Amino acid sequence: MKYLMLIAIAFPVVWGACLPFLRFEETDRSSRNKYALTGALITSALVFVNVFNFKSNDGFQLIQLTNKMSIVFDIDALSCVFLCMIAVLWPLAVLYAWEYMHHEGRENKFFSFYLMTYGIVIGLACSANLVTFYLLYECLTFATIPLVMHAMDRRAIKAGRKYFMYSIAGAATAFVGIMFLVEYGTSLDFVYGGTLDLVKIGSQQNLILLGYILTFFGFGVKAAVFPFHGWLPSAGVAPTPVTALLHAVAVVKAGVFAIMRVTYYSFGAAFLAGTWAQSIVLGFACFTIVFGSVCAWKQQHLKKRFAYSTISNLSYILLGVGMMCPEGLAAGLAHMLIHGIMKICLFFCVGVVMEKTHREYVPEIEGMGKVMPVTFGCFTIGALSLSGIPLFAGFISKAALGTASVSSGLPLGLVGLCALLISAVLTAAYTFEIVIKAFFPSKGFNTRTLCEFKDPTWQMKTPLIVLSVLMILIGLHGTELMNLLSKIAMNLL
Amino acid sequence: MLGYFLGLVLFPMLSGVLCLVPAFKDDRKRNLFVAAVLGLNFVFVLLSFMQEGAFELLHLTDHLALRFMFDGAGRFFLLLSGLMFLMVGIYSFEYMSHEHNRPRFYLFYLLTLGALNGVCLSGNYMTLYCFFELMSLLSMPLVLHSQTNESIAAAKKYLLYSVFGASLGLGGFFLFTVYGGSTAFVAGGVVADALHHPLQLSSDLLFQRNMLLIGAFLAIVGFGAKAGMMPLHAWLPTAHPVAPACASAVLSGVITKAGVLAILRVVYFLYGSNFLVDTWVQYAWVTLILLTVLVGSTLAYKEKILKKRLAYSSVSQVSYVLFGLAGLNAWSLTGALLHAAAHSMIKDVLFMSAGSIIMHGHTERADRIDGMGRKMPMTFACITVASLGLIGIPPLFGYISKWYLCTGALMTYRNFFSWLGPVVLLISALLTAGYLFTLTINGYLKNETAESDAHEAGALMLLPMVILCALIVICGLAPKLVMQLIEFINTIA
Amino acid sequence: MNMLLPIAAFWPMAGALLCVLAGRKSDKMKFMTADAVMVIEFGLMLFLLVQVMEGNALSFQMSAAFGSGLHLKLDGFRMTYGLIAAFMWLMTTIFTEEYLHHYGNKSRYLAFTLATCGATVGVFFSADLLTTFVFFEIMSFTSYVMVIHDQNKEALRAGETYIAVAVIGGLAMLMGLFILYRYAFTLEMSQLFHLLEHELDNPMIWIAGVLILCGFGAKAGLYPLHIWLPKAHPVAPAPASALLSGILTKAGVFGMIVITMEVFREEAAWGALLLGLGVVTMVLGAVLAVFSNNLKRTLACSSMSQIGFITVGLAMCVFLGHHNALAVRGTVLHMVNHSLIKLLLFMCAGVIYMNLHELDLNKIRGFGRNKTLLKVLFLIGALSISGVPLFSGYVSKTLIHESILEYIPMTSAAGLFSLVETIFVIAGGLTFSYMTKLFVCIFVEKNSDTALQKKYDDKKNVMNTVSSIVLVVCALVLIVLGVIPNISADAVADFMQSFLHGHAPEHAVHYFSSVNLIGGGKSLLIGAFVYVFVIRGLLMSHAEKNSEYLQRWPNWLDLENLLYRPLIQHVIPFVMAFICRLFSELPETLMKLLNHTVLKKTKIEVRNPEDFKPASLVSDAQLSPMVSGIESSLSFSLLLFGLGVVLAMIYMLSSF
Repeated sequence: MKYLMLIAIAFPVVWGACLPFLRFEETDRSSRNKYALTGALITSALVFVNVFNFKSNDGFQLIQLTNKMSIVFDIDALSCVFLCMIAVLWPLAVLYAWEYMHHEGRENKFFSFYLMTYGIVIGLACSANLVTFYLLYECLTFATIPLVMHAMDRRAIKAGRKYFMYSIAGAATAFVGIMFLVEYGTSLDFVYGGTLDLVKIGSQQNLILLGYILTFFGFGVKAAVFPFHGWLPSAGVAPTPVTALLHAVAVVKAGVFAIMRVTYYSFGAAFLAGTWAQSIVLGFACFTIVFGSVCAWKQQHLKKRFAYSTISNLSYILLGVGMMCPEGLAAGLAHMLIHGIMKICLFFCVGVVMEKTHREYVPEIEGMGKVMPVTFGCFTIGALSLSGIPLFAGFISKAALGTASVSSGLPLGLVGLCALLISAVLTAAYTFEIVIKAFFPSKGFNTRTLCEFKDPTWQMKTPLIVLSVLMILIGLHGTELMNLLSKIAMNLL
Repeated sequence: MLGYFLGLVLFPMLSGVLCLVPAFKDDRKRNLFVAAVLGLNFVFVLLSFMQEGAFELLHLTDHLALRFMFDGAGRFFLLLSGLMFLMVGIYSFEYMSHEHNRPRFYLFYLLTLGALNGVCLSGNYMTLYCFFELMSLLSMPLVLHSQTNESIAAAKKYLLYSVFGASLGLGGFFLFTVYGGSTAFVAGGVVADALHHPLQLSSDLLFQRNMLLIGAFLAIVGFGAKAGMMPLHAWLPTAHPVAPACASAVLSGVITKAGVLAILRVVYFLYGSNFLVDTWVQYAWVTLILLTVLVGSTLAYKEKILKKRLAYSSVSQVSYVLFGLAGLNAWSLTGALLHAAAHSMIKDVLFMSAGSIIMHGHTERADRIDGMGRKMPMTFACITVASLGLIGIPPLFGYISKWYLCTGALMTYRNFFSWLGPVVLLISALLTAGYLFTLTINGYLKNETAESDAHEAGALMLLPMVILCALIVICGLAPKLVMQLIEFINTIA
Repeated sequence: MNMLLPIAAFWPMAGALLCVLAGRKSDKMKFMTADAVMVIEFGLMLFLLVQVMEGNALSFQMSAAFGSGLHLKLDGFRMTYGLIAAFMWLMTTIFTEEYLHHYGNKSRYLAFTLATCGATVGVFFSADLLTTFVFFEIMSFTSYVMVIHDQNKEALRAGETYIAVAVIGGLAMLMGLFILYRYAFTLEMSQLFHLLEHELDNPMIWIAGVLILCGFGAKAGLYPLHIWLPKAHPVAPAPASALLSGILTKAGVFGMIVITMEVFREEAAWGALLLGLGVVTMVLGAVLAVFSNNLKRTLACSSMSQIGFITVGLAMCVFLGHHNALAVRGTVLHMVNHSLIKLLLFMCAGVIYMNLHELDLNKIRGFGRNKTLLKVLFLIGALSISGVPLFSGYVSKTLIHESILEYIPMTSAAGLFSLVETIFVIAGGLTFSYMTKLFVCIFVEKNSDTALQKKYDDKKNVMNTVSSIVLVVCALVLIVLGVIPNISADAVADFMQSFLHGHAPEHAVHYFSSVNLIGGGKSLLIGAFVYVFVIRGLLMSHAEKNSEYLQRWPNWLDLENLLYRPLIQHVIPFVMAFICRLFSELPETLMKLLNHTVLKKTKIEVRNPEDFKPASLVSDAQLSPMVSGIESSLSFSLLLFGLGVVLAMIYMLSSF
């Protein structure tokens, strides 16, 4: 059983690594695409096998670095949630990338790194202690840089460089936090309730809290918290499968997942609840929520708009996590899952529009609703869900977050609620602006200019439709999902 | 019970979608189909009068459930909206023959009816919020039907205000779920009696009471947006003039009443009237209402464009209804509901006649209808009856509701609101006479200035107007008919 | 539960519909149906009169109607006024046929006149204030159409004033009724007094009283709200003016009596208020009448002045309290007299207008020199209203005059009341003066333009036989009341006084006693004096042969144009609109501010091709400046990394 987990991590990396050596010619596209898709599907199957019969703490130690630090992999409840999300979305992204990468070129390099990232993220999820986690966190950055710089033109290089610097700086600050844990924690393993040795801390509580804040902002760089969000919008230059999967789901969620691990499994929520550190976390989260939505409304570029929207939604999750209570964690997990689905669907729709019509700005997509009904239909469902309209998935997580932030009783909880409501309105504004422009062009608009645009092939359409149906299903019946998540948050599973 | 739900909510929605079927390309067939659907809906409403009780359709999560209930308040508003939609529907066949893409209009017209029936039937706060949002979204295309830049901007503004209002309502929902208990509607309110008297409350119970009061105020202001109450009323005067006349008739006649019903449900079925009596919430609410009443009628008095004037008049008249709700006792509530019925009928007649003036009289402005009364006698007769009703001239329907509203206010309020309310209502009635009666005088008595080829509207347009005028006179002479409909009041106030 | 009462009120309204339907074919049919409807109504009234005379109290109650209930009742006063209303409507409808001969939209006029008759009967029969208010509003709106019948500019402007005063008065009264209902929980006239007896120290009741007085006073033409009366009459058709000043003002007075007698029965303060308003209205009306050079405008202002007399009488009823027999009878009789006199006078004015289409005194001068019948009828009317003995006016004026005299010894403010008595006499004199001015101008003097005079003289038949019969009947009723006051007038007074809670007088009133005759004579003397000096001297220019009536009253001195219109049409709307626009624009400006600052849309960057050149072609030199800005240079990240390590080292050292 232990080795199954290792296989699940190693397989995609190996599969991706040897892809370039199989020398698929540029023209022989379908075989390489099939190769990549089979790789992704096998990995997902492996992941699901691991998830469904996981027994906690039968970890597999790979290497023993020092007496305190070792590379250990072990699946626990929290990592299952992350794994399920990735296992579902990754194959869909690969399928989507088939047709999209057609005009981007250098597909061998792209798909190899794409699969390798998949393995690293699985490893990240399964890491049992902070050291392993930190190692894979760094590898994730290195694996994703070539994906961001895929187009290899000036703009891409500039964005890649910026992304690299932000991530390395963030990891460095996070490393400092880990030092505090090494010193004051009983062990670096992830144990629900934290591993701090309260006796040793004694009077230096503020020092530890400072350490936690450093870790929060360190990992916060990847979770795009306010001062360090700069890299996400400029990473929009990457091809859509990259922005959709990495910068809306995998990479940024890794940052959020790191903060969850550190808060609930290293420092311990009980220790942090009610302290000034929690206020800082909540303060930054609330500000980022509103800031992200405002910038999204201001931004006219489609991808940048949804990048800023991701920044705001990530802080939704951080707001939930910052509540330092099981309901908060459950709400955060729910929003992580549901936002992943919503945002990837929206990015896919935007990708289709950009790929088919080469138009990137909001005013330019006037009247496209009639010409590309499936794409904009899925986009509307995504928009409805993102702005939290009931009967769609977004409402479930928004309701959970709202109730959690109010029931915490903190004054900042109420501030969080206001931020949630304002951001919901702004989200409705900037998403429905696009829907209205697409479906209801102004009077004088003649649709003949759009006649050559039409819906994409089935490869691109299936992910859209699957995700939209998923959103409606969760929206209509999210009971089991929420019960499961609240059990995980209370560490009962 | 489920059958009636399907009949009332899903049936109009599905038939709305059916309108897009190419078989209904030809106008006559589609108009017959729409008329049949509206008629059937009205029959369903009458049949549903025997129903009583509630049922849960589906569970989004454990706490969030779609619950529907058949009770007095729901029946009253169902009948009102069913009747108005039928009348305006018959009117719209001829009116829309001059507009473009009619199938889309009837699609959203019937979808809005379905959502509105959903609001009337909703049994708990979450369902109310859900159908409230749906109604805002589905009625937005009615506003931007003409697709001019101005109407698209107005539609965006309408959507923004409605979504912001609904999100305030959602804030109230979160506060209530945490501090108030179950959100199912129960006649007379759910809040524990202990919280009713603030004096002998412990500190955390006091905190809970304040949170509930804040929640109540948020919900009132939020749902008040749809009813055109002060802080969020600005969308009404911009949205109505651009919408087609039959759309604005439905928008201001019936959809504002959905806002009223939402507030009625929250105040009387959730918080309970004796929880909110003599609290700062009631007084802040009454101040907002009186401000709206005055602002609405003054700006209507100064407005030159006919539909904008009627929109401002809706802003002030719906606040009459809210003034009755704010009285928090059975007497003023009777006045409120009577005025809701009266205003729906009267405002629909006024908007329909405004539509026929625009269509056949070829003018949008109220000061250019001199002498049109001779050319369009029936339309101006309806305008006269409706204006006399709205001013509150005894034999017609508007009088008795003013009687209950003002005496109710005099009896309930102990402070200066007891006389200030009636004084403001009467000043506004004077202004109403100012801006409505001039229409009749200019129409009938002034002789023609410009040579206009105005001619009387078609029979199909006049029929609903005449029926509604007859209703105004009959209900005015014998309001007992309507009083039986609102017997449920004594159970809740 | 007598069904006849609602029928009496609603039958004319149904008749109005009948008249419109029947009138489709020919004008003749219109007038036939209208007359038939009124005859039936009058017959119904007579039948009811017999019932009431036999002493059985008729009442009707239907709480479902109008939501607030319909409650009608009959007693002496109500019956009389129902009868007078029916009589006047019958007379005017018959007269209208000839008057409207060459007018347009007859069916509309007839329909709305009949509807007004129904509403007025409803007001008089009403037993609770809410029913009064309901019929009052209907009466206001239907009578509006009668006023603006000609539809020319002045008619519409006068109509505008009329409807504005009616609506404002109506709403003020409604507010008063709300407050009364708040304290009495019912508006039944009979129960109001003992319910509110001990509430009278509460200021709200007084505010309610004033508001209701303002509502009814507006219709009656009391001082502050009289502005519509002098404007409406000249433009309205003569029969309409007869009804307006004859009956509709009395509906207003009916309301005033109800509020006075049912709520503030013995309140001296209320009496003082009424007295003040009454005196001012009386004097102002008389002065305006003296100065006016338009026949109908003079009669309108005279109506206003007579309403002032009635209000003074009402005030005396309040002051005199238990022994207010004289005041009650005086008030009631003066109302009846005034209604009938104005009916006759306005019909005569109608005849004149019918023939000449002129109302200005200078133009219609000398028209009636050889029209004996018209001259006699006008003379009877003029003499009755001036209070000349042997005519009905004298009877009621003496009663009120005597009641003032009777009250002077009883009150502490004797000086004030003697002043009131002198003003009363002067006003009586003024009445006599302007009536003589009218009579002399039309029926005695020659027209300055001889050709016109010749045309007037040889115009023989002025009105057809039907109209002359109608006028004669009205004159006869006046004479019956005037010549044998003890029988006819006293009988009417006994019949009506119970409404004002009047008590039978201790001793029979000797109308023709020396004291009363002297009182009457004094006022006639003053009248003659005023006529000779003021009218003849001041208001007429005597150039060598022809003299001319001048318009001395400055036309800017008009309360409506000076105060009301600018205030209501310009000042108040401007102020309120400013405030309201401020409030309503608040969220709007906030949104605009946000849109232009925080939520401003970013520009769409133009795609510069430089960015898209593949990196391989770009030399390394170009690369480095490309990545400007400190925070994205490689060294910066190393700096950060170093900082992290340094911090860790410091910590490590501190722990040892």
